[in-house]
Amino acid sequence: MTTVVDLFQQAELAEAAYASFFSNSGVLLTADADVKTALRDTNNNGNFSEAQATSFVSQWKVVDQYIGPTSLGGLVGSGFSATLFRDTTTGAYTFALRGT
Amino acid sequence: MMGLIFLLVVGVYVLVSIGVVKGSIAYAQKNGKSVKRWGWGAALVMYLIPFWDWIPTVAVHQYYCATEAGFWVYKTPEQWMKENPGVMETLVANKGASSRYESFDDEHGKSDIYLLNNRFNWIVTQQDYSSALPIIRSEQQVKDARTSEVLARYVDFGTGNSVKNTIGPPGPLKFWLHSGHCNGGGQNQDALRDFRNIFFGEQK
Repeated sequence: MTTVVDLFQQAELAEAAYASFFSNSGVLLTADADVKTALRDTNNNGNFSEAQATSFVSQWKVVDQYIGPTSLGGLVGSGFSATLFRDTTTGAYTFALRGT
Repeated sequence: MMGLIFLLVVGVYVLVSIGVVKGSIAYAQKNGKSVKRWGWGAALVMYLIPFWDWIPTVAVHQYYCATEAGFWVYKTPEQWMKENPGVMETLVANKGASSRYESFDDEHGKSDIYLLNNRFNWIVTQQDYSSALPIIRSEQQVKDARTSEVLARYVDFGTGNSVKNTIGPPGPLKFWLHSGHCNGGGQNQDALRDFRNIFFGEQK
């Protein structure tokens, strides 16, 4: 049965999937400090609070991310983005998709 | 779902705009006024309601990028190691992403001070740089915590978002204003990250 905690985690992961975890040169950033900065980068869809981001990186690792190509400020392209996270405690993987 | 609502709102706005322009033309014809002037005037007003800040934002963004953005190294790792012999080898990276948070300028600015190890901090700051336009100044520094000396610094500007107001307009709605970096800003950010990585210390 889905609990409130499950729903909170799923919502948090969906929100995290909005952030970009790639460097400008296309390298996936997985260090905790870089993930936390991406989650808090207001310029690039990262809207986590400091406490939220700290809690998030203590539980989740970024394994991989796909961001669909867009142009004209996002007007052209699907805007699709998906991120694979790994729970550091259980080792379980979660595949999170950006909303519409 | 939000995307569909957005498209619906845009569609309604276009229809209302067409109605307003047609209404203005009808009014001008009825009252013997210039049809061209009233028609184009109404179209201009309807265009400016959502897009008034587009050109000023791009212009101000380019100005700040040209005058303030960049990447600077004040002291190379080699110079620092020469001044602090044997210290680099003793640095141990803090586990996780230990940081301290500071808010300033009535929540229009935020700083995350990452404690990389017992000697170096990585400071990430974002700040609303204009009260009228959605322009964010981003700055990152690698700092020697013991001497407060900044070893390298990166400054960049993005548009279309606000540090204080992350949800409401312009936020995600005015997508045409979105720009994450100045030209070359992404490369500068990567350069600062590479510089920072040298000072991370040993991972244990």
